[in-house]
Amino acid sequence: MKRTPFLLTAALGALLAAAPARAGDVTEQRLLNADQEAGNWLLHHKDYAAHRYTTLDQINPATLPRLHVAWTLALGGVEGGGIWSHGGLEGTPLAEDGFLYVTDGWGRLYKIDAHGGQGVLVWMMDPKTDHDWAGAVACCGVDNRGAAFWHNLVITHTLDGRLIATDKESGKIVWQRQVANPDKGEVVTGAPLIVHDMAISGVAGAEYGIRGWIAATDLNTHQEVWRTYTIPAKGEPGAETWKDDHDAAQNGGGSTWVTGSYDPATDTIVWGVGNPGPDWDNAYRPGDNLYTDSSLGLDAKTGKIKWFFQHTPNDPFDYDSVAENVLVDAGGRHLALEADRNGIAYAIDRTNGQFVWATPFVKKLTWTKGVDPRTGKPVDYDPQRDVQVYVASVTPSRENKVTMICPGNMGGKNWPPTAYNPDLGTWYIPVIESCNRITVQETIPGKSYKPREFFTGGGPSDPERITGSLTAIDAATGRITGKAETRYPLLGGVLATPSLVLTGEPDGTFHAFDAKTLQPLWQFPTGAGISAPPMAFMVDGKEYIALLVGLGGAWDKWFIDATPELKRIQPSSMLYVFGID
Amino acid sequence: MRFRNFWCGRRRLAARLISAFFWASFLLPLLLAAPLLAAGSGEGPGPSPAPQPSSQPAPQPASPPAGADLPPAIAAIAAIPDAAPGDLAQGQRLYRANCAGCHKWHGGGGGGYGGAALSLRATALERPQIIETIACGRPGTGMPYHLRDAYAGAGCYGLAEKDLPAGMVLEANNFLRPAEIAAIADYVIATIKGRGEPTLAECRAFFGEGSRVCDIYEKPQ
Repeated sequence: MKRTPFLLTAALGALLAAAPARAGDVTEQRLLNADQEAGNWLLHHKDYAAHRYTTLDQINPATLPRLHVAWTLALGGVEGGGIWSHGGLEGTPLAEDGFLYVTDGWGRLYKIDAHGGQGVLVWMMDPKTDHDWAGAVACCGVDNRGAAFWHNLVITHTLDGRLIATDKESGKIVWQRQVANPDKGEVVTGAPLIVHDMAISGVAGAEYGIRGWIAATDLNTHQEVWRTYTIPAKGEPGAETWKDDHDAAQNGGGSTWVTGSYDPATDTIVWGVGNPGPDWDNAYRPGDNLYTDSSLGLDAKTGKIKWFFQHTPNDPFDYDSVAENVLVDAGGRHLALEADRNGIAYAIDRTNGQFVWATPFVKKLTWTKGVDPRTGKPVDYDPQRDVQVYVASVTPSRENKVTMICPGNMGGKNWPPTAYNPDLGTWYIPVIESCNRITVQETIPGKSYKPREFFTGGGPSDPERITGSLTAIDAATGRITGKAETRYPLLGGVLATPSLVLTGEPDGTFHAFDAKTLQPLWQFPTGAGISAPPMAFMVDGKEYIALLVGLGGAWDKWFIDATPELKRIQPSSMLYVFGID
Repeated sequence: MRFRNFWCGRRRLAARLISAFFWASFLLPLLLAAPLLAAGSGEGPGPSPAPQPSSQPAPQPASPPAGADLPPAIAAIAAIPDAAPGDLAQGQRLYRANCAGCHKWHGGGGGGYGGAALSLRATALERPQIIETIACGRPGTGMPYHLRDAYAGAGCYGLAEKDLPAGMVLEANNFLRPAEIAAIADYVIATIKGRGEPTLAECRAFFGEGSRVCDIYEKPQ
């Protein structure tokens, strides 16, 4: 073996240590500092804290009049499958060094070269998702919310339950593994979260009687590291909150289909848990039904539950808590903020799950008289009761089988992500201002549950108009500081910039609001359904805003009666990119 | 393009609020004259209590004479000869595109997040009434009409859409030609109506050999 001269080795070593990681190598260090790569968007929620805040400021109130469509690119995935007549777009594009990575509803992954003021498709990875197998048990649309980076791979999910690693240069699938099982009603719609060398996956299917989980896959060995069930097994802590005699926990729901956040300081993954099943027949599952409707703090290395905070015990409304937790330091505390489907925004201490503040963020809320400022529980919650009634005249039950609830079962706020401006300390919530009608159907033990069939204990209908708002909250105090009302519910999510807040409406209107006053400053009619959040990136020294436009989600199938004008919106699949002239 | 299942579970505001009144004032006399219209599928004409589980069998009234009291346009479809045994491919293709979104591939329908599509497995309707239901829909429910001129004049149930409250009858996203409606009815009668729980053989007949949709029927869960 030939010896390398010592000096040369030392010089090379010094060079390597000084040089940044090579382009295309997304290391753990880069992910930990994703908020500081201004022109890139390396994580689903921009950074581990889920701020969805860009520091880019070329697009601002002064330049907005010159903000126009720079280019568009037609994508695929509009075809139907299972019970769905079409797929749609709910994804957040990732951006690295002028290349975008986006997914369509069926999990196709597109790499797009955004240099030179245009978008050129570099490659497309088609996972050949089993449309009927998955689409027949997707409660709420053919959706995929995006990709994740890990070194030279792009990591994605498919609706039929796979985790896929694609080579960033060639677009070829390097490996894949099945993480969820559609035979049980499990599908995957969220983007993976990369923590250490693991991909964290969540699952959907609480409307099909699943037992929810969060799972970690080692990206080096492709093996599962841990899987934490959101519904405890017999004998585990929390199992005592399932008090029935027919093993309701086995089909207890608690899905986890929105990508969570991560706190490196305590090595804690913070992840939201969905509704219990059956959704509206809470007498079938007496007890508080942990850990449904909760925010969980998980030890990243083991998946063990460190702490939890439950918002709606024994939920009879479908008020899940699957939303992202936004990690914010404000008022001298380390907070996790969550805008719950139940219409209330919560701040908890993310080091221990203790309640800090709660604020109703919807205009109309009827199911509870308020939140106990000491415990954070609804004031109508009665720990002595096995089946909660909250405001009994409103609450769906076997005795009150047809009832209007406010907010409606879509929320409040659904999956569309919030954004946080750390300079202003302001948190922006995309709101569904709604009531809807719930009809309860009694669930029969041993009879009602069937694999791959709906298991909901009733259903919603929408006899009243539903609108929306962009609502701003001061993170330190929980005080509402602004509300910009919108004609339609906000079904796409929010991007915050130093001076603006951007979000789209499902009729195709893309808005920019003033970050401080929420005054509408700019809008553009995309002409199709917006059900995805905007993001910002930089290429060739210029800031752009990217937005996926294409009727995704469940609104047009289950909730359209509340917004009759939206019936005219056609399925489509298009990437819009906006820039200053 | 949107397919039929877009409508699944639609419980229109106007329809829900006023349908009881509507039916009482306009349709009860018609119903008295044609009782099978409402009875055969197990759903009353007023607001239904939303989702019905597919496992719940529909009432089974005695069947009246086939073809009685049908409007001429519907009677003309009913007069189309039955599909030859084994010639159900067209009906299956049309069923898949237009019906399966709500009634499911197995016809069991069922409740859930959206709809209350009735069970075609448990239906007591005969061929002319199945044809009438596909063609005319079911006013006041989520079942849309598939015949273009169903309510253009005094056609289905003697009604015209222009005289009806908004949202009372729902137009399907795809209209069907008379022969297509007959083909779907023949497919439903030959492969769905009167069946019990879905089977592996039925699933494979619908999706083809090897589809993972049918995994769950291979072994007891």
